[in-house]
Amino acid sequence: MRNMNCQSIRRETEEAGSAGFLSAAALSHLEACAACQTLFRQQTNLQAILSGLGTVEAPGDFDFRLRARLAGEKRMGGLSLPFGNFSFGLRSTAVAAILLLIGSAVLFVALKSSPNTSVAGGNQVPSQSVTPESNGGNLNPVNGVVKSGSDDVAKGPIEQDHLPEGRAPKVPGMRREIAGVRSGNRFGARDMSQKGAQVDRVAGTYPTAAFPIDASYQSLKVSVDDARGASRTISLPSVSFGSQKTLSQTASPFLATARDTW
Amino acid sequence: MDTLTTIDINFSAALRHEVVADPTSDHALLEATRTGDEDAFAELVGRYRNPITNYIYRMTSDYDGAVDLAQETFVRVYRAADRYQTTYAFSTYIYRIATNLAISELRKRKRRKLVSLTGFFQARDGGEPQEFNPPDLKPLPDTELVDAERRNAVQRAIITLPEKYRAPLILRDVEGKSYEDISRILGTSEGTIKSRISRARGFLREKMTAYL
Repeated sequence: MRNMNCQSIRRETEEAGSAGFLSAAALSHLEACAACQTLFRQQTNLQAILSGLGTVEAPGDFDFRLRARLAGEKRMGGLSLPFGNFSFGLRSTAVAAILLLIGSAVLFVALKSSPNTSVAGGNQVPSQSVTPESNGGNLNPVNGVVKSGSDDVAKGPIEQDHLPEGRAPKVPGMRREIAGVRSGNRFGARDMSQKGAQVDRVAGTYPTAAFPIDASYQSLKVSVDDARGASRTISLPSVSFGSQKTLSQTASPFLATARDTW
Repeated sequence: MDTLTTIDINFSAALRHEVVADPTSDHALLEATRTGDEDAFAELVGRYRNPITNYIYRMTSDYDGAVDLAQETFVRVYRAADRYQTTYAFSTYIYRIATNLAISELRKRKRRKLVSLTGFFQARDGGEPQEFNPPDLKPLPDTELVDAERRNAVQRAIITLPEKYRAPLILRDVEGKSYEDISRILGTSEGTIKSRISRARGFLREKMTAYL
């Protein structure tokens, strides 16, 4: 009974607080019960200490800093990200997606701009090269060496496909020569079907516009450099190009006919 | 749940109060803020900056951090001025924001493991680590020094309380709020608030025996 009374009195003193009023029964109990009296005294002292802690004041520049912060927020309001109200997960996903996109774009640009790994589709013709167009439609650097003269060509094994005159080089199904290029750990491929290889010609051997008739009987040598110091020379068998025969302006009885035919 | 959960800002309809038509009331000032009156907001800030800073400081025991959080509290009030419903007590509203910010800050600290070297003693109820604060039993010559030491001791003791006990104790015994207001601010029933305050006082009595 006494414990029950102590519990109820303690609950009452707890709720009443230091400034609260206690009932007459509680006051009489406190006078009689030393334990409850001690507890009540400690509690009153504790609450006095707590209430006497005082108020920590805000610094003098609180308003100024707050105004500056609000002004900054207003300025940044128009620049806030469109997903600023997203949850943390969605924001993380959006940021990751943007980073991935940027990374892909940077990688693409780096691959595109790298001279070792240029993408197929270039239409540049090396200077001082013999192209099918400049050579009457046929590339036949007889007794010359077709070698990797330009930087682009020097990066891989090259074969030049000779297309029949009048055929567009991008016709579907056309055989394309792809050169594999290795640069570091990256692999790339180039379409060389529209490029003429640079030809190193022995100076003064042949006239620019005409070949001697026996030129086609000489072998064609192609030197290939794989950009790692290894080179290889391929001798191609002689090919006769009957249509390439240079006709004499004087002696041929078939001149007129041939001209008509050509 | 051992820790105090972050409180939802939405008020229930049961907590509605009548809007006071007084132009100097908090509601009127916030209404004016909503229409772009910066002076009205400055008046609100002037009214609440010290109580809010003090409350957050008692919760976190970090003055600079408390000032920052108090500023963040007012920024949130300003931002949400359009959404604020004047049918509710503004002081309850702003204390609730401050409580949420303080609790978030305490959780961040807990994640960062910012525990003092003496804070390896676990709470008796198996909750958060309690800081060991041995009382200095040597008599001090000056009463003012004694009071200062006592205040420091109680502040150190408060900061060792679990969050769910700390907030109601500060609101009741330091800020002087009523049980009803505290239950609104913390979103808990009055019975629970009374129980938590009683337990918090019990913890403090044990820690502050030498000063009581």
